[in-house]
Amino acid sequence: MSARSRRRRRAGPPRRTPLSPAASAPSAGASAPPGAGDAAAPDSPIDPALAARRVAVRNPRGRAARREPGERALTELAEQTEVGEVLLRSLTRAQLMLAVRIFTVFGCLLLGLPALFATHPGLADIRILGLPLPWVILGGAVYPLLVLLALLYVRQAERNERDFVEFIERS
Amino acid sequence: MGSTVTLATVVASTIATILIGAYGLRVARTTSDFFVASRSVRPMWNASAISGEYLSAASFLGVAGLVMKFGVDMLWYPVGFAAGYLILLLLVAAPLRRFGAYTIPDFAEGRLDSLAVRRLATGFVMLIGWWYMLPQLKGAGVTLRAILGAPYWVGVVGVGALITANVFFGGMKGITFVQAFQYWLKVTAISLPAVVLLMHYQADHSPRLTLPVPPVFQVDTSVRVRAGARFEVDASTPVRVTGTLDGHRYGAGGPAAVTLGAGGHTVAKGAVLTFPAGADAPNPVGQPNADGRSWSRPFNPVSDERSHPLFFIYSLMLATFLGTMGLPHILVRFYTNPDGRAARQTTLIVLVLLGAFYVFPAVYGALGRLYAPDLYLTKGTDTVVLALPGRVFPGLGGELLSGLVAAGAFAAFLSTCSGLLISVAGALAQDVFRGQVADFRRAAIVAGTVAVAFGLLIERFDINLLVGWAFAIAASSFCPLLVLGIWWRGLTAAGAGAGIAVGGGLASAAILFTMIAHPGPGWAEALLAQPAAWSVPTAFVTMVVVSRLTARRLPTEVGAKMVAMHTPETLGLGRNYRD
Repeated sequence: MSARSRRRRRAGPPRRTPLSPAASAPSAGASAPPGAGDAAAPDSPIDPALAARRVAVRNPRGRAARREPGERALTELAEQTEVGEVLLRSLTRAQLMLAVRIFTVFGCLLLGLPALFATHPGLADIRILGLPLPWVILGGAVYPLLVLLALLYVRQAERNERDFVEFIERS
Repeated sequence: MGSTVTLATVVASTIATILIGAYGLRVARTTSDFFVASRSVRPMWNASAISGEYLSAASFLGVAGLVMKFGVDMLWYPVGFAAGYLILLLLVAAPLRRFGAYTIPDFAEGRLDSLAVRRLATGFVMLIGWWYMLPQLKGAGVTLRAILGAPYWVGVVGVGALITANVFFGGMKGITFVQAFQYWLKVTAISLPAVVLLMHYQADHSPRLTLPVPPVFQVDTSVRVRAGARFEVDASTPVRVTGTLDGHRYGAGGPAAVTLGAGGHTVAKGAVLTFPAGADAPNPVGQPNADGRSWSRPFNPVSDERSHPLFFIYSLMLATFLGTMGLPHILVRFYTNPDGRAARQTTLIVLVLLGAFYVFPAVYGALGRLYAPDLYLTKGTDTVVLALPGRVFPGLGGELLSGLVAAGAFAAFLSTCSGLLISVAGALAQDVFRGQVADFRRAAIVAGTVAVAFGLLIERFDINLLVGWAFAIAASSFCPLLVLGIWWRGLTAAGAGAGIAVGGGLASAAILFTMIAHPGPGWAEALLAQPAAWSVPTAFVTMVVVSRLTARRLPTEVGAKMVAMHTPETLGLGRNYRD
């Protein structure tokens, strides 16, 4: 996998090679190599020169990768080369770690509550604005907390994605 | 209760629902419109629609009733219902939208290239959808009986027919508008009377609810007994009786004065008991009323009637936190977002909308203890939201408020049932029939009929118990599929299928066993009555282990699918894996 994709990166996608102008233009009339046959089959009415020109149109990637920043990384992603996979993993790991961080905060605040209430019955005697603490937490305070955590998550997740897009476009 | 005004508001809200559905009908034209509203719904609309669809009879009626009966522990239900969206946001919302499938079976097939897993998922969509529809239909039957005195089946059949017709004619575009409208109707219907009730409570010098005394009648209260009952009083209580009490017929010539001795009594259907102000509220035999002090505290003796309350709460938390993402009618809404970013925004708004709603049911539960304690005797705590405004405010004002909450309750059944019916009918149409609009309509009729048939049979089961079970099955089957399918490349079709079958199957079996066999108190009862705590981990472990064992049969294009799910749309790498 690793060797192949590295080779791909240097030479471009392998399926491009049989269609490259140098290979297909001279042979298009008589003995087209397999894979280039569709473009200029032996009985094709297409003029060999025209076939060559058409191949050039189907083959912008190699040059575009050198000219337009971002195009190459995008290709790596689209074709799941090893580099593309590393890029994607960096994004999914960032998003997953973000989710785990938010969940940890959520878990510390909420998942401990039933056990806390069960082991510390005195908490029910604490009053906030005249209401017992468990009612204040479960009946109201939980919801702003959920919204706050969701807001933090959405912001950071979008930032992660913006950073990712910027990185792709720069590379 | 002012049944004319109440009936008028219920009819008005139903007509509004149908009109909005009809307005949507003009927009709905193609199959895609019908299934996911052409994916063109804005986040605010979409979030209102999701919340409207989500706030069911369990949220609108059930939570308040449970709080009145069992106290603060029952607030874990709404907390779990809302927190499920945070988990959904963290793990599922954006990637699932980017994958671009209509339904969970579509996701299963697209992600795993397996028709077998698709069929299995379709089976569970129908199971969960129908299961969740039953408590809604039960709520409809009970509500119509409470406000109009109609037999149970009238509400079940009436609401079932109404939603089937609405889905049949409107498809989902109509439903999106309907659902959004339903949210705002529901939040108005529960908040406005609650605020007025709280003002009354304040004017009433805010009686303490946490004192160690049982619930007491504040005013002379007449209780009409709709079904024969056995009840207990703690101290001898003078009452006036019309009808049959303890085998004697009273009140041929007006109510007779009788003193109830401490202990158990039997009252026949149709009797009217009038309790004096200041008397302790009686309770059904075997279900003592908690005193205010223990009622207001977590893990009080009354809610302890479950074998292991702490385990139950944790298992319920797991079921609701993880089950939300697996509810078929909720997930399909995320596909109506234009992109993954909008899916996140939508979820965030949903949390705001749900939080705004869930503050209020507890108000009814607490004030019901004060102002409607006769509901303990008649086992009518599920109707406390409907009953309270009329008890507190006699006259037209009370009737109008009662009408408003009744309209809200109706909105709750209509919206949740419609959403579920669309999902079940969609699954039927795509996987059992052929996937055209005509098939969708045929499937809607089939699915609606089946739901009504079962809805007539489950009257004796508690609304929130049924809902909690639907969540447990969803958490044990679809949650592992979605989470692992989105985040783990190693998931195979065999692993996913095994996990869904084992997790969902075990949870369903445990719940069916509890429904039929009623196991006695102990760990067995605790583990079977809310199985999520063990069935969800079992499903995850099964999926991972079987996927590892079949690792050589990975689905095709896993890398491309991961790219499609996780990269922002601006890069243009997404692809629809719907087909």
